[in-house]
Amino acid sequence: MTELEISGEKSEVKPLKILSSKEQINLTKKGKIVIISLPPLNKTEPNQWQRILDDFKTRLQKIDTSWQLGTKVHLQSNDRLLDTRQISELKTIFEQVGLTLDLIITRRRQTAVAASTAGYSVRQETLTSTLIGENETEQNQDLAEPLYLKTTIRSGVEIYHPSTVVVFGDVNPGATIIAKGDVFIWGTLRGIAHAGAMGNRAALIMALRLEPTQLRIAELVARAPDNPHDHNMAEVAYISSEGIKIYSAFNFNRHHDFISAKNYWLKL
Amino acid sequence: MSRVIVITSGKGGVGKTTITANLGTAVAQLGKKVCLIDADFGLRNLDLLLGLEQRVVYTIIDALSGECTLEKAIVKDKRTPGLHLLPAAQNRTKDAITPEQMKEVIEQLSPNFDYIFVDCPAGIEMGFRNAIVAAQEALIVTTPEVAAVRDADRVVGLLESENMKSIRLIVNRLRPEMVQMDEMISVEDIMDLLVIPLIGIVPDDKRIITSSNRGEPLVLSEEESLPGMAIKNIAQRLDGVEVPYLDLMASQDTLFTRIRRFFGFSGK
Ligand SMILES: Nc1ncnc2c1ncn2[C@@H]1O[C@H](COP(=O)(O)OP(=O)(O)O)[C@@H](O)[C@H]1O
Ligand SMILES: [Mg+2]
Repeated sequence: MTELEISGEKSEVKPLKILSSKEQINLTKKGKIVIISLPPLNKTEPNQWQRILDDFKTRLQKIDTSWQLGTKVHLQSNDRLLDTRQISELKTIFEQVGLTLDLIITRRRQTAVAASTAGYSVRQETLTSTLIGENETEQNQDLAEPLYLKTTIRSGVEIYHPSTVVVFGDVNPGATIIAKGDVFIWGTLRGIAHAGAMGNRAALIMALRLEPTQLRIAELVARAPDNPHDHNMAEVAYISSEGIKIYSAFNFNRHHDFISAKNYWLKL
Repeated sequence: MSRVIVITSGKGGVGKTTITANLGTAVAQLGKKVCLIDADFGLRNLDLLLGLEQRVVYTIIDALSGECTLEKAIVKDKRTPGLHLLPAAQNRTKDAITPEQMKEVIEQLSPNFDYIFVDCPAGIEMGFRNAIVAAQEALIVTTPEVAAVRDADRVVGLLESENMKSIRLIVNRLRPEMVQMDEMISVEDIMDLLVIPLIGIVPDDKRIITSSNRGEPLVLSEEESLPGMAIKNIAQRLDGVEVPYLDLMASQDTLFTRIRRFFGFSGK
């Protein structure tokens, strides 16, 4: 590339750097879906979002886009923080080439919140250690920070989070919450909840109204009772010596103890 | 500038096209200029329900490909002043048009109409994207059936992520006697799940089917009918007039009292 010159003097302006492949948005077809991954944050040039998008749009015109219209995209956003506006910008670009944004995979809690609030399925992976201690809003939050969602989780949405999930709203039939920790629903749970998804049998599922399609704790599965009792009482599901049981959430902790040696909750 | 309203459901066969035809007619009867867009490519039948099949010469595809002007493709309904139809192509696949093209068409029509209603195909694929792309408002049609409500919930989630300005609910094919016998999901239960405002309840009525078969929307009929009134009320509510809800249970009550009297249990 030739150096830019302004009125004969050597310019201070650096020529526009072309994005290297590590700084670009990458697209790969994988079976019936398309995986699009965002480049890692560049600490020296944090504000190049628009450049990354423009670069992606240009490249999209050149690559083979012979997938079926409406093909699902799994967006791998890695360590990037995305807000709802950025998600919507990406969604629009995808749509122009016949792709439908379906799932957002992220390591950042704020991105998970933004994505699920916008109604997308979310899979949260644990934060990479390089980001811990970084001077950002998430600095003081440890890895196991709960995910707090203030929205209705509707049919077709799946939330995956490597810690506890708190929903202020309902979880509708057809929606799934998968948490490594506990699941707390400040509303009605009608969909599927999986607590302790990595095997933690002490994990709990609690809801103001527990009318789930299915409950899963660690490796156990319980389906909804055939005759759901009709009461307005917060309840908690836990692993007892006889499998998953449901108990009034009120004072549950006073009446139960988790016995690590046995790996279940014991009623006192 | 027109209000662009998409009529959608997720599930097929719940009455989207029937409601588009009747509601469009009812809004035109209020003295508004209305254009109905059939966005169900490959399965067009809005023209049939309106009795306009014989008058369809060009379709939206011909207008887009420049084979005719947009004005030429639009069919005027002579029975209902103010009512117009932009037909879909029957022989093309549903991927024959992109969301951008749909948006362009609606933007061109917008200055000439008070209301544009878009009849959405079933599903949440490309056809759905086309139908919702230019709409600011959505009417969700569901029947009181588990599968229909589940799909409606999914669609509400998708529309919320598209930042749809207004999402309202129409419950179609309600059978009051079945609700009373606890054999059908009630409107309250549906609203409890979907948490969106209601704009109308249309009872199940065979006159809807016979009028559709004749190509004469029921709201055109001289004879008053409960479903006809229900749809006229939705038209008023859309236009900002507060109309009380019909007591669909009322006719049931009289039937029950009649039966009771017949058996001599009238009480008095
Ligand atoms: N309120 C109603 N009462 C009785 N039949 C109805 C009612 N609404 C719709 N139908 C019938 O249900 C069928 C499907 O309706 P349609 O409008 O084609 O659904 P969609 O467009 O959602 O696929 C049609 O046969 C129609 O006549
Ligand atoms: Mg239809």
